[in-house]
Amino acid sequence: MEILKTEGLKKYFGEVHAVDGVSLEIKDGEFVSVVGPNGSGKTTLVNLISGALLPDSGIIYFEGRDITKLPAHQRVKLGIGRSFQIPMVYEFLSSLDNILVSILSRNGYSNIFHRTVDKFEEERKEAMELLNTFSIPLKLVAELPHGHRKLLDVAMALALQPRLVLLDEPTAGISLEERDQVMGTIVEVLKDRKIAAVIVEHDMDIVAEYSDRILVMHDGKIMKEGGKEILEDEEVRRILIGD
Amino acid sequence: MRDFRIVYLAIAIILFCIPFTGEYPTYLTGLALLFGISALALNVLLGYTGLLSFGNALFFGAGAYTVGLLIKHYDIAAIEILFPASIATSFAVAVAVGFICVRHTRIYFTMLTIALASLFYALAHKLRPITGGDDGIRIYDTYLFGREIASVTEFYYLILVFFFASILVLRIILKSPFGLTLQAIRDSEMRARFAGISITKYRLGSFIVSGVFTGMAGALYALFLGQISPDDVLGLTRSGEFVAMTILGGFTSFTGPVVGAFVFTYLKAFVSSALIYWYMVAGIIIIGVVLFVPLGIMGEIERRLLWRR
Amino acid sequence: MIPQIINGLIFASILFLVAAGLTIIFGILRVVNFSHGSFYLLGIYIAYSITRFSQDPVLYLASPFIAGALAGAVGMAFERGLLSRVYGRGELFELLLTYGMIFVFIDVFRIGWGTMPISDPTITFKLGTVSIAGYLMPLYNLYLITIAAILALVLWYLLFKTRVGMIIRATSFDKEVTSSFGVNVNRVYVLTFFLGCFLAGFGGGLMLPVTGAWIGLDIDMLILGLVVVVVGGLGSIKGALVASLLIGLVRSFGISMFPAIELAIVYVIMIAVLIVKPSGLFGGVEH
Ligand SMILES: Nc1ncnc2c1ncn2[C@@H]1O[C@H](COP(=O)(O)OP(=O)(O)O)[C@@H](O)[C@H]1O
Ligand SMILES: [Mg+2]
Repeated sequence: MEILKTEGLKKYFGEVHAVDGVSLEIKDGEFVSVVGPNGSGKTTLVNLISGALLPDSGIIYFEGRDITKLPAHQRVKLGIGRSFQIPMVYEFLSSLDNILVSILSRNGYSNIFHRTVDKFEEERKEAMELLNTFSIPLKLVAELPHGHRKLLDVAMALALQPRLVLLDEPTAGISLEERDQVMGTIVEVLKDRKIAAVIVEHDMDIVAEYSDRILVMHDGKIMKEGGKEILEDEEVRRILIGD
Repeated sequence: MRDFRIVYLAIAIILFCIPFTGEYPTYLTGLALLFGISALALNVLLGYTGLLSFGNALFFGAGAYTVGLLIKHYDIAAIEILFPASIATSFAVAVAVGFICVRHTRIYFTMLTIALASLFYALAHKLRPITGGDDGIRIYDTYLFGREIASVTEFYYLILVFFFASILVLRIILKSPFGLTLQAIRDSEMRARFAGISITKYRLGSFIVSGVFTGMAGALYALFLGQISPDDVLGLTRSGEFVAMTILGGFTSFTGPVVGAFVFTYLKAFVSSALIYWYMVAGIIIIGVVLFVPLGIMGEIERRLLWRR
Repeated sequence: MIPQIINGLIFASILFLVAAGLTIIFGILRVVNFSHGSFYLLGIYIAYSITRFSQDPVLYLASPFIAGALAGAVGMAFERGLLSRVYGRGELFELLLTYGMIFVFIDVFRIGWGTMPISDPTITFKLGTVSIAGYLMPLYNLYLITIAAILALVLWYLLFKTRVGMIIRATSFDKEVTSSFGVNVNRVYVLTFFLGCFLAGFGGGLMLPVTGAWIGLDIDMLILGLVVVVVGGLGSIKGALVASLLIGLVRSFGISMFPAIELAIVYVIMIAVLIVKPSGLFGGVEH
């Protein structure tokens, strides 16, 4: 059964056809990579599915429900999480609090007089575990290096315990040696919690190793899709290398 | 943390003893306490939500005018009625104004708060038959549970109780998940939205908290001074003073705004009595803080304490 | 009708001069200049001092230009000496700096020109009146409207038809790109601040014979300027023009029809516009 389905998604920025008629299906627990050169519309696609942008036309279904017009924060409530190409984190909170915000939101604690944040012991423990999983130090985020912010952003998305997570270049800016380990950790969490994932990724070794399916984007369209063998395809290689 | 508690206790004792030092210091400290709450409430928006309101006098005035108008037109002199009425008014005003303002951020938000406060200012100014125009309203003969409250000292203790209660409640609010979420929104609206948070709902909540506490301070101010006018409680300068106090004390610190309010209030009283050019001094202080101590007094102190560790 | 329209146009002219300055400065520097009303007031005071030298009508008519130039010079000094030191530290600090200036100005005015209101309508009497459709109008009022309209045209020409204007507009779109073309962005900033403050000071100078000056007018003018800019759309000069006319005329008719709440009407218009179109009449996207 598919968890996400889009039909003819389009988003134009003036002359630029950023996403130009994308129809795709993601199955429960599937790990799908989106590859393509810079400017091929990968981030825009993530923005459309997550609700950061509204499509010019097309429909998005999540677990069979039409969410095309749903505000972003409500999509999160349904179970769509995302991370950002340029990490979005809360600069002046600790790394733990960054994750805690997601957990508290997930559990529906918005009440002023509920109790003070330091009394949420379960949630804090959970946040701490996520920090440990990704080896992020407990620090003010403003003091964290780029790599850790990137991971924190991913951890914040995973802390929501989504059904589907959209990760926009989760390993960009992380050193070559660490990439594989980081991706391994992410995939472990995904499998563990049965989270379906759409991952935008440039590192083809990683794409080949982890993907159940690969979508190749070019000029806003899905040019090709299939298993890792399509990475050997002549046309695909030309597009990706032409990058 | 232990040593901080001692500092707080000492401050509480000093505040309790102020009335023994005479009427004028009591009056001045009473004002500082009221402005302290107002600045603290402003900082719920500025420091915690990242929204600069230059119109918080709107709430201060709403609280003050609720007291004034009820006394003037309905002869209601019971503080136990006036006070909740002021809370209700400032709550209603915050909801109404909030609906218009919270869709906007940054400078748009700031300009809107100015304009909306100006609307109420203009109304208070021009609707003379109701509000007394720029003469304002005189407030006297008020009672608390049947007992007349008249002296500066009596009002001072009323304010002091309210001050401690406000600090406590605001502290709890800001330490709650709600407060943490506000800070998340402040740092990255985008991230917070994708953590499933309804930004406008929380902004509105923050606006209401800020408005209600400012409104309560305004109500007490009206009772304390016995006289209100549009320029005094609704003007842009009043809103600006809340901002100046907050920045002076430090918007990154919970206690900063209170410290700023005290320094500002005492300095204003001192300078204006010694020198006629208070405005110049105020302007230079604001500019000086911006240029040289952007974190404010408490922000700077906290930064140094952290560095030393 | 005619007197209301003329009064409305006078008011609109001044609002436009003030709001255009505010909006240009915002467009380029991304700073809302809270001391803009003070520059307006400075213009009136300077014009007042100039016209103390002689009662020559030519000097009277020239005084707004001198007042504008001096206000612009003060603006430049403020931008270079103070404001430029907080660029990049966030709009909170930029805003507060211009807010602090309001107070510095207040005492400068008190020291320089005393605490009492000043006025000097001499030129209005000297120029006499003209009859329009049976109504007697001071000729000066027509002069004021005409000169403001001419200035609006000059401004439009400057910004949209000259090289300097092109550079200024390019900077407002993207300062990195502009500076990569070898444009000295700092110089554009100073120039813009001069221009904005010139307009405010000039508007002030024009109003000396009409309203005179008093302390408090600075904040009144600032707020009205902000309202115009918000209604017109931040950064849009066309918006400033349309909103000035709208608010000028509404206020003028409001004064004669609902004197008690004329100012409130202005704010209600603003709120209505913002509810229907949050970015203002001619505003693009926010942020
Ligand atoms: N907000 C926007 N406004 C205008 N153009 C945009 C915007 N976002 C993306 N684009 C354009 O859309 C195209 C696709 O961009 P993007 O989705 O970021 O590609 P990718 O993530 O694959 O590198 C690019 O040409 C980009 O310049
Ligand atoms: Mg991208």
